[in-house]
Amino acid sequence: MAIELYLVRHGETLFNQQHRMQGSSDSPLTERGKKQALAVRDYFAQHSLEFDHAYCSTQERTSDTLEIILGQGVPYKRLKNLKERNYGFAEGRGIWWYPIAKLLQPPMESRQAATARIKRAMMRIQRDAQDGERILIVGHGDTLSSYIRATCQDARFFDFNNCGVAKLTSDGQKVTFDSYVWPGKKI
Amino acid sequence: MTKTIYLVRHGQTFFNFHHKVQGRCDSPLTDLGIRQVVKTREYFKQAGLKFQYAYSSTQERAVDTLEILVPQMPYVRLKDLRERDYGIYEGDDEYLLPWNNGGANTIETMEAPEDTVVRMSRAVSFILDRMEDGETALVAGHGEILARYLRFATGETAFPGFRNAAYARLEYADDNPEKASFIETGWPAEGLA
Repeated sequence: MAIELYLVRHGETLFNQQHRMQGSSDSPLTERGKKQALAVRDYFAQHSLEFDHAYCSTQERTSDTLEIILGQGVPYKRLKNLKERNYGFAEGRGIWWYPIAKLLQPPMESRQAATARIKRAMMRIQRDAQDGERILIVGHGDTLSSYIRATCQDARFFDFNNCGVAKLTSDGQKVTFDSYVWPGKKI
Repeated sequence: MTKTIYLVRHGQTFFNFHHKVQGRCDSPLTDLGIRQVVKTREYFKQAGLKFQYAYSSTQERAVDTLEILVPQMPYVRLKDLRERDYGIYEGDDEYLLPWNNGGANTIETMEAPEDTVVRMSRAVSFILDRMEDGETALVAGHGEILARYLRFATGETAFPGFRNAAYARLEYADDNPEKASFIETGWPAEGLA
């Protein structure tokens, strides 16, 4: 049994560009972010990669990225559990607020809770897949990275760039990390 | 016969609560925001309202609002229903907005207010095209664009605006998004804290 999972982080957004914490909050893709998504679309085309299912979070930056990658009219599912971690007080504020925000209200979502959440979403995605299928998941940096670190032993993986693409394989029990590429690196 | 559209503004969000400029950016509904939308749902139920169609902007605060108002009902997300784009002011404190400082009501990076009305009219046209006479559509959207459109389409220039989870009922005698009759507005969540 083998399922291929392509995890893609959304393209650059206004808050990314302004170095603001962006977890449960959301902001539009910048022009660069849209070009990054087009680079992923081209990468998949060049490698003849087509997807049997596509998922993204309920946050608009991921559905916008996914719609650029797959084109308009291709059906996809939006899952709340794929959302980014909620950074509480720090949301929308400069990233330097992150350490202090851990002590303030509204409370930050713990890394453990966010990781548990995305594991649930990923299990559901794999449960709904058939053997041999290839799945596209457009999500967020913190939660996607946490998922890889929590499930793939010895993953030679560091961090998600905007529109970075991580390829994983699942045999139904175990998930392994195959590769990470960044088609939009030069944008 | 007429077609009816109910416009509802999303419930209170974190950025609303913290007085951050929230146009194209987005933040989750607060607990109060959720309770406000539930109150509006209860009002619709008491009034015996049935919606044949449900629409929302693509922004999560509106989608979340719609999912509370009409659970399990299939809906369509339209980009044209999004809030006005406040440009470089997105996510900043509201007091920095130029019109709060004696300045103009728009600057270059913002979406022109007239453009929000054009967009909304386009969305309403799309919605009306898919309705039969006598049917009712529910549209979950955003404060500034809904208010500007309503004033333009109904001629009610004194319309005060939409509070969180407030609604307005519009009726259309022919399929013209620019000519609506203003029937009523309400804020079932008034008094919630």
